[in-house]
Amino acid sequence: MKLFPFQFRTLSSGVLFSNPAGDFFQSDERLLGRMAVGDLQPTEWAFLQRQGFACEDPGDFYYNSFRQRLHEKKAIPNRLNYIIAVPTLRCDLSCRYCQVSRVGEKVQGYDWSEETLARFLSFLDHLESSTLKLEFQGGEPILRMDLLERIIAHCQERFDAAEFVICTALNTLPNRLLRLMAQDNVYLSTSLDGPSELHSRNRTRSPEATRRFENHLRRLLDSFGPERIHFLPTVMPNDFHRLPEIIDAYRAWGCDGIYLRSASFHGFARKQLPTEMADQSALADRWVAAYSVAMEHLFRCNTEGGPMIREFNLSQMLRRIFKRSANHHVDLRSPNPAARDALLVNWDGRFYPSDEARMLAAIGHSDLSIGSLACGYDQEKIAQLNWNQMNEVHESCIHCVYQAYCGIDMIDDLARCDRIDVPKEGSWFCRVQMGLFDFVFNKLLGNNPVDLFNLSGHLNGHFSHTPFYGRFYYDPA
Amino acid sequence: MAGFTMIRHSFQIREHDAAREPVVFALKEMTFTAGGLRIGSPYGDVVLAAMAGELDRGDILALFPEENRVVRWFFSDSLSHTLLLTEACDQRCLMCSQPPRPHRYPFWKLYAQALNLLPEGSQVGLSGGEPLLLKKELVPWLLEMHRCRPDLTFHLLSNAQHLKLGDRDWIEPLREVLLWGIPLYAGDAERHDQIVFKKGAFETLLSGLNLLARCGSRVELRSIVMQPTWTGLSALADFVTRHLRFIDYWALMQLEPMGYAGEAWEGLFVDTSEHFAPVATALAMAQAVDVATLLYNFPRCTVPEPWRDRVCASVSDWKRRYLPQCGLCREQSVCGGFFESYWDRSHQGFQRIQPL
Repeated sequence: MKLFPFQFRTLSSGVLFSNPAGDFFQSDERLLGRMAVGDLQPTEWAFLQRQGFACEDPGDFYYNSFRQRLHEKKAIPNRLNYIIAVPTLRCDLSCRYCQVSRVGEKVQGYDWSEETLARFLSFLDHLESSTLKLEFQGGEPILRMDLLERIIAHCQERFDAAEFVICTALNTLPNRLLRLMAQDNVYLSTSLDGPSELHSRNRTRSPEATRRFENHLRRLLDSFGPERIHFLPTVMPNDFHRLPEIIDAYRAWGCDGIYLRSASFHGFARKQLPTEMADQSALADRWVAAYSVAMEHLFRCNTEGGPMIREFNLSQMLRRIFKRSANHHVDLRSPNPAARDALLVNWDGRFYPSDEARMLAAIGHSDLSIGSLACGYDQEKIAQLNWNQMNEVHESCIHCVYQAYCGIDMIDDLARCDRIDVPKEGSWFCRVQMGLFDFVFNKLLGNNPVDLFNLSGHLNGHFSHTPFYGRFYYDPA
Repeated sequence: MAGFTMIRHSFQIREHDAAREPVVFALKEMTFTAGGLRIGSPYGDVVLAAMAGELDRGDILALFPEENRVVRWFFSDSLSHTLLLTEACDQRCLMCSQPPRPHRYPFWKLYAQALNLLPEGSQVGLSGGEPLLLKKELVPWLLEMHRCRPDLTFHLLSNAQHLKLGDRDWIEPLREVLLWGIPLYAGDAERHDQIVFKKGAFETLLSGLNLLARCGSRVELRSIVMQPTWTGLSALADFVTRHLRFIDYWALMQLEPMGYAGEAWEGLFVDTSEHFAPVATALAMAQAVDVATLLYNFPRCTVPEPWRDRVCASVSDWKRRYLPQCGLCREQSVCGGFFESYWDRSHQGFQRIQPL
């Protein structure tokens, strides 16, 4: 008998074991000790084999089954079909945490030129994929309705199936936007920070402007329903304790989902709260604690009826743990190769691997651009980035029990530490993910019906008390 | 020939010049006469002891002159067709609806003629017994059929006990057109071997499945929901969702009250209309890891609404019946109904039948 590589971590309820293919079970130190030296009873070997942690011989049934699961966990789609386009960096709002470093509405020289547009459309024409998801970011993309209309019309012709997401602050609601929304593959995503007063403070700077925004949002929800209109909050460190309130505000809006997202250390947010942002570990611990409290609140609300709400981080983590190929979300996957299936095209026509990468470039911190519409991909730079976007080879990650489910975020490390070779253990990303995965596994291991109900809803979309995973406790006694 | 597939559709020939080779043909002309049903055949007209309406134009028939018998092999109005190749089996599953007997039906040439008459894109079921007991003849026949009719697909019901590494040579070329229907009844050797009454069956099955996975074959995994598998369903689901994710889908099946299952009905049947929870757990576990599932032989109304989209109208139309109360149901047209043989057992059957 042979053991596959495995990782472990002590949780409050015992020792959690996992392997690179994402299998897991719980036991205690006695089994761990015997696994470490290979001194296992036949029943223990049999258990480990069934659980996906061992095989008889390379090539046998359990070996190949492990190989297949490992492949599913790691395979990254090889076709570029998700593009973020930034047609302008200008914006008619000035949020205090603006992470993209927007420029004023009247400033010239921060929009796509006719030439950039032509190059972008030609770039799309040459994609291999027959499907596309295109997200318009800004600045405020609806300042350039003309570009949006032309790009969308082009893509409707070019692709068999396309989806468009317009990310807008909804400071205005032009009729041209409503006309665009008449096409049912056009979605709208906006920011709502929760209670009106919080939204005013962070984003609009005035109650009147918040009321105007809320009227726009209400009108869109009434016309197109929550399936087509998505919104999410950005939470500043001083407001972490207000997460339950934010959830309640979302419930009042009739939302079925929320993405609890703390402000990242980009753009204006860096200047706003330099000291809080700088102590990453302490800040991460505060976020995890606030998140846990908020989720208990959300779980309770969901069992009390009314509209069920799902939280995006939790759904994503559960998908990474259970689903076979949950490898599309670039913020939580590994390896996370650049420009493989997702790409950002900035206002100046340059390519970036992600939204955060262009944010760092915008403040002159580091140039993470990986080419441009004019010159094509910079393959050397892509290769360099990719070597640092694999937790499978990072010394801080290889022994981590959550490695199979987690991601890796070089760009956040760069933003917060100015370098990428820091030990991950103290970094914001690692500490937050450890805390969040601890939260999820404690829930999974806890066998509490309320938790089970909520976890199933977050994983599969419908809330149910039916167990969706088998027994995974091994009692070595 | 007694006990051949679809015995209820075979007919005695009354007026026919015997002692010629068997022949296969598609039924074109038929008239009902006082003596029986007169049909055209390659040997001229024959009259069958059959009722009007029992045969249809387009049915594919095999005529065995020496035995004075016509057998309907394929229905004209169906997209799937099944050949019973043998009744012999090396397992003796305790709920077998067609207990093994040493009868084989190696009519390879006739089968080839029959397949050549099928409409484009048909699926051909190959069933037993255990078809792979005829592996030596079956494999060259399959390869030849695939060469002549690349549009046909095959659904082979096999216990996967007779596969060796060398079989890659024919499994791989057929992987796109051959769907393997393979039974697995438990997640552990002891329980599975008891159910199929063969020691070592589980281990052999795993190595067979291993081979199919490596060949990229399409597999329909089949498990019966009944008392001997009931308490092990969750462990079985755990095994399937971890180790058998390469399958196309996992079919959970209710019993067909025939053969051993008919005889031992009371000791085997589980009324899933009243007790569905363990089935729901198995389905939820499969859903959690994106393994597709289907429910065979479950009347629609006996399945809770969240899982009803898994129900297949799997009972063959010629075996299918409905209960009197089904007349009120709005979903009867998409429901598989009940096996004809369920009639004698209905008082010990599903207690909650409620028209939808």
